[in-house]
Amino acid sequence: MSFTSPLFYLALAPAVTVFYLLPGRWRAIYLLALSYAFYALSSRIYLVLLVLASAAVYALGLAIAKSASERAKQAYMAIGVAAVVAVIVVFKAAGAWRGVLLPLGVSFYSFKLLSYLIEVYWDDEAVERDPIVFFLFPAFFPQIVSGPIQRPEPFFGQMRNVTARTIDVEQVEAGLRLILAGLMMKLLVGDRLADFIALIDQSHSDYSYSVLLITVGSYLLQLFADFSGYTNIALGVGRLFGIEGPPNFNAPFSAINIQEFWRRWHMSLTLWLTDYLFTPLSLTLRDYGQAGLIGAIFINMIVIGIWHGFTLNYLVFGILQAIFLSVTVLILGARTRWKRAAGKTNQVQPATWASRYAVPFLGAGLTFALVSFAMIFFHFRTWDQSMSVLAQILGLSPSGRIGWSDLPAYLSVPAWTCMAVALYVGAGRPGSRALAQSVNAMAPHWLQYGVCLFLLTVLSTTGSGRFIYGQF
Amino acid sequence: MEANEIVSRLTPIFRDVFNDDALVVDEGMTAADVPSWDSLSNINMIIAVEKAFSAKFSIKDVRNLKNVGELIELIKRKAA
Repeated sequence: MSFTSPLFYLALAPAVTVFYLLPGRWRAIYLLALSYAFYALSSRIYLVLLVLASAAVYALGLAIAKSASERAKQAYMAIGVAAVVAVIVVFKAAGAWRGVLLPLGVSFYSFKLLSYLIEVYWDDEAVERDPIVFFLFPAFFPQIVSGPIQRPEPFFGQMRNVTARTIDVEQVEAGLRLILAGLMMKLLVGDRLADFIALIDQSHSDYSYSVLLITVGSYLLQLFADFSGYTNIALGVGRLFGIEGPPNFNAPFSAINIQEFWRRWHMSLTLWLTDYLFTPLSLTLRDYGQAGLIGAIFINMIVIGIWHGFTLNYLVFGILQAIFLSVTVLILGARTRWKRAAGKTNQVQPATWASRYAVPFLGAGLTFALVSFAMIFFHFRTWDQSMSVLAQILGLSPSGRIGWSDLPAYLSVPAWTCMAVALYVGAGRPGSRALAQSVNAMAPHWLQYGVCLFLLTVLSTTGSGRFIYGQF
Repeated sequence: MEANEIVSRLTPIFRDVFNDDALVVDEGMTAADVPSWDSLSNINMIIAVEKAFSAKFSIKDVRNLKNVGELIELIKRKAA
């Protein structure tokens, strides 16, 4: 059942009500049953995999915490990590090469299980002995489809609190607001932009250079609208049950270099990789100096690429990001060393127009352009499609004759509007606080929500409502 | 080695790695207190500290550090 389906919300309302009517201890069991039922609607066979994987990791976690010797702890952790990674690799390979449908959320819940094993290995006290609370951690249905990838401790802590308190009306209202914002971003912005992009994709060589260039730039905007929309809905539904999940986006389009971009984009995945892959890898390779660092960056970014699927395109996407990131890190490092040598470290420079606006604006533009370039490989499934669009973008193959003025207004106006909205939201909604204050002074909350619901009803496309990250 | 001595030796390292000549290091300091303390500069800081104190930290040691106070304790345990 999709987060965009009206049926989901019809079922959600009584599900939340029952949750708060139940006595504390029963809430976790109820939520686990609800999560397994949600999963079973997608696949009963793969539900068995989720339960078995959870059981194995639960047992290994207890074994790690109980073991007195470091060797035994390490062995249990390594067995668990190898088994979970094997599950991911087998299904990703089967998906890419045999067309096997991936188990729902396997890329996400497996990363949750891996983080738990590593955390318990690092610190015995991270072990969770309550089986219900533990089994709920990977299965928690608001996060199962596409994350966000929550860490064990914050989830366990919040779950224990939820079972011990009454309904928090403010939290529920915040949850509903997130769901509404997410639905609007997904259905009104992402899906409309997806329709426009699909139209151009059908015969991109018929379109002019500028139409194609702008469309390529909108791949990233559409992905942001789709995935940030999903994330807000997931976070909102989680809050209805008293669980606050981690954020995935922090104004990614305001990033002034690639390094900053990856600190602001799909954060629950990138922070996960930073803690469990990049940092251990960098420390292991520390004796190799800059080469070790660049090696760690390449491995990290390639894993980000192929985590999405074992295809050549995702691999190239990861390699391109690794190149951009390595060059950025080397340039920034050289600049810092040069400033230090010149005695200009953190002296407060007088703010100029250039340092305040021009440099960040140019940096954000360049970052957006570089990520969009790599997105050509993320957006298309096949190498040939990507190369065909790339050849046209680079002027190696002729462009078509259909320009912006030839496109009917009912296509171009919504497309431009959606691009502008996604860019504005993705850049951190500058000035929105003042705007919200003026709107709040004019209209009560219930009226604002009503207008949003009205817009959702009237302006939603008849698209599939499927989320891009649902396939990973 | 006393904590004060370690702090005074850590200060120039932190100022250099985090590129802030006004940085005042104390035991309660965490990554959240220093804007330029990210995953990359964290690795650089660990490498610089290892070099300065002739110590070798494990991944587990580094991962469990919650603030500078715990780094000082780690240096006391591991420094040659």
